[in-house]
Amino acid sequence: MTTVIEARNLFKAYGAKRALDSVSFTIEAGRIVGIIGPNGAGKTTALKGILGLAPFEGDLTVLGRNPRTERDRLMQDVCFIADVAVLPKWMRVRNALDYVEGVHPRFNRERAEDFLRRTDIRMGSRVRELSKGMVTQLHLALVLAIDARLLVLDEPTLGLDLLYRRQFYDTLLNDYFDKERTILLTTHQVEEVEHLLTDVIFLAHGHIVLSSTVDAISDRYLQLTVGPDGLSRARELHPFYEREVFGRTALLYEGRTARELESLGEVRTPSIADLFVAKMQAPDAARAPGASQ
Amino acid sequence: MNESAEVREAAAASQPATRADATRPMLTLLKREVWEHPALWIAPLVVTVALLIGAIFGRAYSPRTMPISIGNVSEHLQSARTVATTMLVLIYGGLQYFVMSCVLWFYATACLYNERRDRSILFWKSMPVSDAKTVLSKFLIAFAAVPLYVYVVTLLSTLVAAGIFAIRGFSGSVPLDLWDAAAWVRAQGFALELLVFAALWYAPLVAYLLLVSAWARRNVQLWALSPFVPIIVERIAFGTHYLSTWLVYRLLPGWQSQWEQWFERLFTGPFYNSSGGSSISRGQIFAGMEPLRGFENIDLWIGLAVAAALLFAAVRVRRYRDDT
Repeated sequence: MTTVIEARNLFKAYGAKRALDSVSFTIEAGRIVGIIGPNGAGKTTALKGILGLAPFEGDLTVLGRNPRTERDRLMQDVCFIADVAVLPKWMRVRNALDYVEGVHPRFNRERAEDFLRRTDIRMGSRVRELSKGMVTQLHLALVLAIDARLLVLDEPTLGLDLLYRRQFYDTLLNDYFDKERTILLTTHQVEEVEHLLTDVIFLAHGHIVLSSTVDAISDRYLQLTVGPDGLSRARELHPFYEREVFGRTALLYEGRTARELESLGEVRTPSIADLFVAKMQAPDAARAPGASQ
Repeated sequence: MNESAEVREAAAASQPATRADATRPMLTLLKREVWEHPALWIAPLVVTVALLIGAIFGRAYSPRTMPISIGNVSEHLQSARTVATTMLVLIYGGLQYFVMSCVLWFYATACLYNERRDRSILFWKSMPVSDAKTVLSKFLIAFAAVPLYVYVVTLLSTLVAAGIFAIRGFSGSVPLDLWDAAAWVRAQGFALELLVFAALWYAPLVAYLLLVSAWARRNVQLWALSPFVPIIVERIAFGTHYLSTWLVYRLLPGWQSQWEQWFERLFTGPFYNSSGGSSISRGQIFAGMEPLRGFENIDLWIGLAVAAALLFAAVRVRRYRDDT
């Protein structure tokens, strides 16, 4: 398996605020990795480092290159969609295709045009005349037509309605993703991407709270739901998070087996969204400076 | 055999393709600038249309407004043609280059600033284009591409205007045929010399505006004009004007006195002297106007070195500035 991103001790501060504090992670090829965290957790800062858009301290290698000094070369193999509407407003759709065709050696214009034909986007329209959803479609059309190895998405569906959001991720999975490609995305809408991720990195206050494959999560974490009568026994097994739902309590455990818990109530693998919420409120996330409980 | 032929064919096919691949991104970057800033190509055309409307309806060439008598003109006919043709080229050029300077000022201050303000820099930077290439493309637009384009537009527009004057002369509303082809060629050559010199002389100004454009977080126009602040401070605090003298020299490179002499020759020369006098020759018109002598000025070359340094700084700022 080839390593796509190797990050060691990334550090970045904006004034006194530490956006990234000794963050290390490795991303292998063929994975779909979600960096998940609340607003201001350092997600975008991490992505900017990976894309060579902002300086930082630490060691970072992306596809064998140093993004700080080799952004232009790196971008032949990396595509990037920042949250919606970074396509220049004055640009015509036709010009956008002309431009990418002119500067990108791996752009396949026919592919982009094919994709656009399936939308309501016209070649002569300016980006400012398109709806938010259509701008995203256009950007996606450009990106899907580039034969890249790493796709970076920063809140790509922010502000889109459900229809476009669903379409966006479906297209990504069906038309783009394969075993050679890697997708790295940030979002705070966990539910929406949970089914497509292979790996998650939870980020809070510039720290990694959890970095795991989705498969490993089911081995490591369990959610137990008990009624009021079983609660005290369930608490004896040291859950790291609990939440009351309709008179019953959901408790999250790390490192317990299903057999230990089964007798107490209903056991299942927690959803990434549940795990995220739990981890964000658990003590190891809260110990970071600035965290409030 | 067959295989080697194929290889040769492939090599032959790839050779020109590689060369095209090398220049294509830069050409695309230049085109992209024109897409975003249509004023770059529209403004010279608007000026041209205005000038040609003036040529069709204007009374500048009618005998009643000309401060000369017909007899005088015929006496110095060649001189009149030379002066009229030269003035046509230089007045058209002067207006075009004045408008161009304004357009380029706003272009240079906006081009690296707007992309950060509307966050489209995140799109541009997602493409395999280096910051150096991006900044260079914007510099080339202001330094070479637009000036050359305006030169060609001006050149063609003087020919059209000459045609209009010829038709008006023929139909009687203009006294004479005032066309002097040799003077036109000489004046165009002069304009080109001037253009090349001016492009090089103003290169540091363009580079400075690009740097401000890449650097300013807001109020880019105010920052661009900020060098005037120390000038005012110098005036008030010390009562001296070294800075303003220097700035005037940088902005109007010693042309003032040359221009004054030159206009004096044109407007108060023998052509306008109702009492007659000697004719003015083509050579006399341009005597003392030698823009190419500016290349002997060491300040021109120092300015180019400064321009290179400022462009380098603009590239660094664009690479590291992170305010999206």
